[in-house]
Amino acid sequence: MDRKAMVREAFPALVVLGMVEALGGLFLSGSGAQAVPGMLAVIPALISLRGNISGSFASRLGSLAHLGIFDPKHPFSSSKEGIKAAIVMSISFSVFASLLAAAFTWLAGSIPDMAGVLTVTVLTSIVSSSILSSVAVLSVAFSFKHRIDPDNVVVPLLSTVGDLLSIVIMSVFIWLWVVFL
Amino acid sequence: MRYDDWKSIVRESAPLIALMMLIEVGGGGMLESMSEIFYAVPALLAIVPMINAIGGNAGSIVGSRLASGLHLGTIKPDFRDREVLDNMFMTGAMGMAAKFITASFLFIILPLLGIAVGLSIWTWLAITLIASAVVLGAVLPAAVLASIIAFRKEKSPDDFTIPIVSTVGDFTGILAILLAIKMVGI
Repeated sequence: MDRKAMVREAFPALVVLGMVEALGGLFLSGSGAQAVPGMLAVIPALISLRGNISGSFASRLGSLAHLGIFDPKHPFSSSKEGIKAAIVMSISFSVFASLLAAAFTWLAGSIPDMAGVLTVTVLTSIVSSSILSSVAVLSVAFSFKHRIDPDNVVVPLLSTVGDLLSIVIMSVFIWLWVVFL
Repeated sequence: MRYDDWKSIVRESAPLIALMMLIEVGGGGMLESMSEIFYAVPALLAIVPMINAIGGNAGSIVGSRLASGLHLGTIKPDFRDREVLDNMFMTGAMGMAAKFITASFLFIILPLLGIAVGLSIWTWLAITLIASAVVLGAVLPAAVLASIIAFRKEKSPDDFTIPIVSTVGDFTGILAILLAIKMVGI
């Protein structure tokens, strides 16, 4: 195995990805999440929900583009079923995750801030999945017009940008909740 | 992948997402149970996304390299294969080095943003590096195992190895941070 080539290819990517996640961490540590009982319990689920829904939406769009069903000239109308599915799942699973997180917190012996957890989770989920779905539709259309395989570029890019974006949006909502309510 | 209406997309994805939510909230519940530590040292929250990501990133690298190697026949589907061990070792070493750089960056930048770290650089590095080592120790063998199973059962690494690796990474990431905090003893 060519160890030098492997380090050359993979190490810069690992460092850059680490830095992007660290930026997310900066927002999270300044948000005051630890002051809202139940919030820490829901954070990992919220981040992974974003990845599960937007990530699979983007890779689905890539496949639909290859099949010729996704039309880059009418990007939104040809992907509306996928967008509907993403919105329905974002809202219902963020409610599900909030209830689970509140139950865990209660079982662990503290009283969860149900209104805070639910508000932050649902708002974050709606805002981040609308932004990411639109970005996914537009970037798949763009990459297809320019003959770049969306599977190689858009999907990996979206998952990194998406992680950062959802952590930032969530931190802002947590901060607003802690400061104003 | 078919051209589905939204209901069938939801039906197809919902069971797996519901399962992931249960696992992730389980991890989050452990985070919540140590909320006093995060209350005392909010800066520790900054390492959560970074430790969570290392497992997924390193696991995906090993997973895709093994998938290609297995199909090309340059790697044997065996834990004792020299190439398999080499890939695991190199990715582990690069992962640790990358976390060393990221953790040092956070230690410098957090106070500049007005978030006091309140720990010495040694404690800070010890927590991140112990946590990274624990995650990599769990994720890399899991990635190898998942790639070998994917290769034998002819499953695509995108649909099989990557989701397994990122869930293992997320879950062990939180456990690893809590373990590292306990070991270092804040």
